[in-house]
Amino acid sequence: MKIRFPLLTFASIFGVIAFTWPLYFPSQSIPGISQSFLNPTSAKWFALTIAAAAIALVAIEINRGLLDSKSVALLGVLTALVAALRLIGAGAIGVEPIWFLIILAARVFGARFGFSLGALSLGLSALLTGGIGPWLPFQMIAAAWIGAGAGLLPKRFRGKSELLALVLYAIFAAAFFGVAMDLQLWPWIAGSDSQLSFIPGGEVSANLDRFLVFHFATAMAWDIPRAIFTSALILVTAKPVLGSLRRANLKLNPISPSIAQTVAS
Amino acid sequence: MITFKNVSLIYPNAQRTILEALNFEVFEGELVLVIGHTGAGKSSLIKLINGLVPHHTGGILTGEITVAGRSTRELKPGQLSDVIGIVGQNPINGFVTDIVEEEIAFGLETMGIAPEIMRKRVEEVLDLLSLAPLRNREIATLSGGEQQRVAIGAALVLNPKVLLLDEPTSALDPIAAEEVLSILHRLVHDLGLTVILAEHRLERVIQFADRIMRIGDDGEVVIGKPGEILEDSPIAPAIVNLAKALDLSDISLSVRELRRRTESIRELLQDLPLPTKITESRNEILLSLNNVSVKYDAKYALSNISFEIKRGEVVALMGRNGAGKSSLLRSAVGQSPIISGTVLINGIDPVTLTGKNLIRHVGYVPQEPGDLLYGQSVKAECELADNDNGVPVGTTQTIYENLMAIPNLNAHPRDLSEGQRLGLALSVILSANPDLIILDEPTRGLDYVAKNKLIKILQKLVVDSNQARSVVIATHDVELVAEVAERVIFLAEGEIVANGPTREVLTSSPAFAPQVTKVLAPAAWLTVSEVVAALEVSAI
Amino acid sequence: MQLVHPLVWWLWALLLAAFVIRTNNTLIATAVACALTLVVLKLKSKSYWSGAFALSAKLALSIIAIRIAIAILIGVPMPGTVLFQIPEIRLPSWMVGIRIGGPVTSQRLSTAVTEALMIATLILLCGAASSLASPHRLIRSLPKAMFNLGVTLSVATSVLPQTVKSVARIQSAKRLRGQNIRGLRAWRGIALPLLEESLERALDLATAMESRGYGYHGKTSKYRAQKFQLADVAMITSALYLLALSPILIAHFTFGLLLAATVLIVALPIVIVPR
Repeated sequence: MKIRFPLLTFASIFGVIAFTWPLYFPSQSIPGISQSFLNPTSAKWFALTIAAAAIALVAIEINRGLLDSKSVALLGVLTALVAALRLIGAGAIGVEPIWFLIILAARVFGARFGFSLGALSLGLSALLTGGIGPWLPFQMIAAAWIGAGAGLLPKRFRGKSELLALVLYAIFAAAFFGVAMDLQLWPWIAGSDSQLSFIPGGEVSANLDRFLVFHFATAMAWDIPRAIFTSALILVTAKPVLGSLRRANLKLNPISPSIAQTVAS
Repeated sequence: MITFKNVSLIYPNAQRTILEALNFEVFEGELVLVIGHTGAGKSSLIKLINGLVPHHTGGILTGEITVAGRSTRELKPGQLSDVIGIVGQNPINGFVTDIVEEEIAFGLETMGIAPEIMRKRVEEVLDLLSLAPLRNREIATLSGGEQQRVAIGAALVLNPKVLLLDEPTSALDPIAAEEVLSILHRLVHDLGLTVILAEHRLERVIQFADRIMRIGDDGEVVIGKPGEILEDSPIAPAIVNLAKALDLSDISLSVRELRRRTESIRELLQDLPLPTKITESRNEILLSLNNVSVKYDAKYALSNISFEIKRGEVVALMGRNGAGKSSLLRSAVGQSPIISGTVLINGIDPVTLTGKNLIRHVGYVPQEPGDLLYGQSVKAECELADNDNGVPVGTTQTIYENLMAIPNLNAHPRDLSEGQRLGLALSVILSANPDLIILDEPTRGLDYVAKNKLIKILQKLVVDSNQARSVVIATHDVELVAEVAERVIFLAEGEIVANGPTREVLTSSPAFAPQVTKVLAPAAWLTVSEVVAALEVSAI
Repeated sequence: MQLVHPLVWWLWALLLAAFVIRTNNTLIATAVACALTLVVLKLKSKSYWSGAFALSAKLALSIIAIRIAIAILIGVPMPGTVLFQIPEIRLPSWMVGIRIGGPVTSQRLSTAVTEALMIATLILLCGAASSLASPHRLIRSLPKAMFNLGVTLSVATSVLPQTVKSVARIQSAKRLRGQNIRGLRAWRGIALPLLEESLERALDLATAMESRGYGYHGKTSKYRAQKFQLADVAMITSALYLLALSPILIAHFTFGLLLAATVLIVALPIVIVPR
């Protein structure tokens, strides 16, 4: 079976491990690795390294896909736009105006573009909003997945069904981002010594329960407003935004034949 | 250097061929000027030369185009980058980085040129275009003229033989335009560069051109010496129109030439009376500024400005970039940080006006008229405007249809030409029926036809309404001011340097005089129509 | 006099972060945070990226607050001196039966504060590097192998400040059109013209890049990479010393000496960085 995007596949596998490790982290020491090196408290640093490695792979893959001026120009300019929107919306909780644009742009320009846009815009905007921390590689991976997912929605939806699909996806994406961020944040903020911390060696279901309680609190504060805001924005702006993006797409990739043969003058 | 053999171009979904059976040759070291109405195909012609059309922007092309022996049929624009450089209207849109020196080096980086050679070439270009003191500056902080120089430098660094320019001065003020044109002139004469230049504003450029190529509305192209082409061209600067109006045998391309040819006529005109504008005496003050000072951070943008605008006046606001024109206009709509003094529109402080109240008093068309537009089609935009302004449905559309000869209601506002976009923005503003209309650089990017239309619109605006509107125009365009404004306020460094009737102010300054004035000095004539009218009367 | 190489700021920040984590001490972390604030205040420029430190400080404070709140409310009981008691509320079993409240011991509080402070200092260090190193120059330091990505990010960092200015311009244009809409319609009114402008720019940019030969020639080269100066080397070396020698310093000298060394080394840039 040929893997189309080997780098991205590896990066995604790394990403999944980096996100979900607290659910199944073992309690007994792994033979060969000393407990002082890899223990419940230091494991989160390792997860961070794995996530960073995933980002490095993602960067290499994105670089590979930027061979022509149109992709570079479009990706560069839209990354700046999304980052600028995040700058403006910074402050109010739940007001994250970046998602609607990433989702709509991915819908028009494809999964690969959405992936790149998600990763780069979150990285760049973090640089400007002082949002660089242990969560950044995770944010970038999650945003990249969200962008890619939006690009993978079936193309045959148009009009009302397209709008519905996008709104539903927005709600799903908002929830997904919340879960992903909480998974990643869990060991950092709940540590290993609170009642809601993950249990090394515990059963996946037990850990899952604890996680869900942890997530419940943040969901109220962040995820629900995010879902509402993003889906509302999409409802209100999808038609004109998709229109603009599609017009630009046509101008950038004109579908006319370029040169006809010389007719004998 | 450049040959076109039997070239025809058509865009899919278009009703007509842009160019048909075009044959011409451009020789090395020529400066060829391409003129034509908006939409005639100047841009397409320029882009054909380096292959952007059809490889990058689409289109169906027949015929053969060769540049320095290379055919654009086989080669893509990127492969021709070492032979042809191109510079567009908005230089900053074409920049990849934010630092001058890096931007110039970018073209070399993408070719994989060795660092030592890169260094040498960049230094050469920096010296050639006098950019060395700006080398580490952020591009966004440079003036329009400086940015355009950087764009030229970025193209020149690849050592091309041909330089293409698509309306390079249309977004620039006259001084910056001078800079750019003289650089081009120097490049042609000192380096033997071949330059093809598409332009709207012909005043300064016709004397530099070796040949002119005119693209007619029907796609027909004529090429020849400037004198020949401008003789029959509907597109011509004031100086040419003046020569034609004075019935001279040949047209002249520069002020100096025309002065020499018109010695006797000037003596005749000296004795003719200057036209006076009959205006009803108006006393009602619409806008008044009293000792207004505006400060941004630590700098004063305006210092103790006082003046008044009465109902029914058309006033031009002139001055260099950075003199304070924008701050002054914005203070009239309550958007400037005023630290002292009062601004009153109809007796009210504009800062207190919001929403619909503001637009009934003052309508402001910004430099980018597109900023005001957010509809998906012209029709939709008009409906939105009706809604926003609280007027009956269809008002805006009627105004727009009256302004434009051919209103295209289904076009997307962003796809309109500059002139059409301005017309749409103006309609949106007008439907709220404001007393004061402010236009910020309205003729930027307009060709002569659109400009004349704007002049007629402005003249009608003041006369038509039964409530005597006033218009304030901030502009560099001296010819526009000569045609339309009755008073000129001149700003420099945040202070009013001149405030008086147009004729006085414009004729007293040699640098800011319209071409007609420069030719017929010391007589204070402003426009060709004035001269023609006076001659007719005297002939009777 | 050149500015400090952007990579140096980041390397310095990372080394200091490693140092803080290694020493795992509240006083050291606080000292680093304070000295850092001084450095940023003295050295930052008035650019669009300089606000990152202040924002990161806010973030850091909220993280400390949340961490302490979690520790107090739902910490696992730890033996030790009880500071105060919070009334217990037992949550239903479908919520995993956790118990909110209970006795709060000083040990529990101190461990929570220490951990929180570690993370907070980390965030502050990253925020400082963000504020002090120009993102544009940072991207120029990318290796040649990542040229395409570098160009894309270079475009993004160049376009970004202009996009932010456009927002102000469009907002004022909206006001000029008599619109004072808040909420969602305001977002639409701003996002659309902004998007159109950005797309137009992308189009022009693609044309310009195409004409300059981007993507047509196999290899690329790098113009004048920024060189490292004495100040850069001094900063990295001092941070390395701190990181490597901290255990020795603690073992053989007083803690106070380590503290002083920390403050001096972190504040070093104020003195040696060329403005």
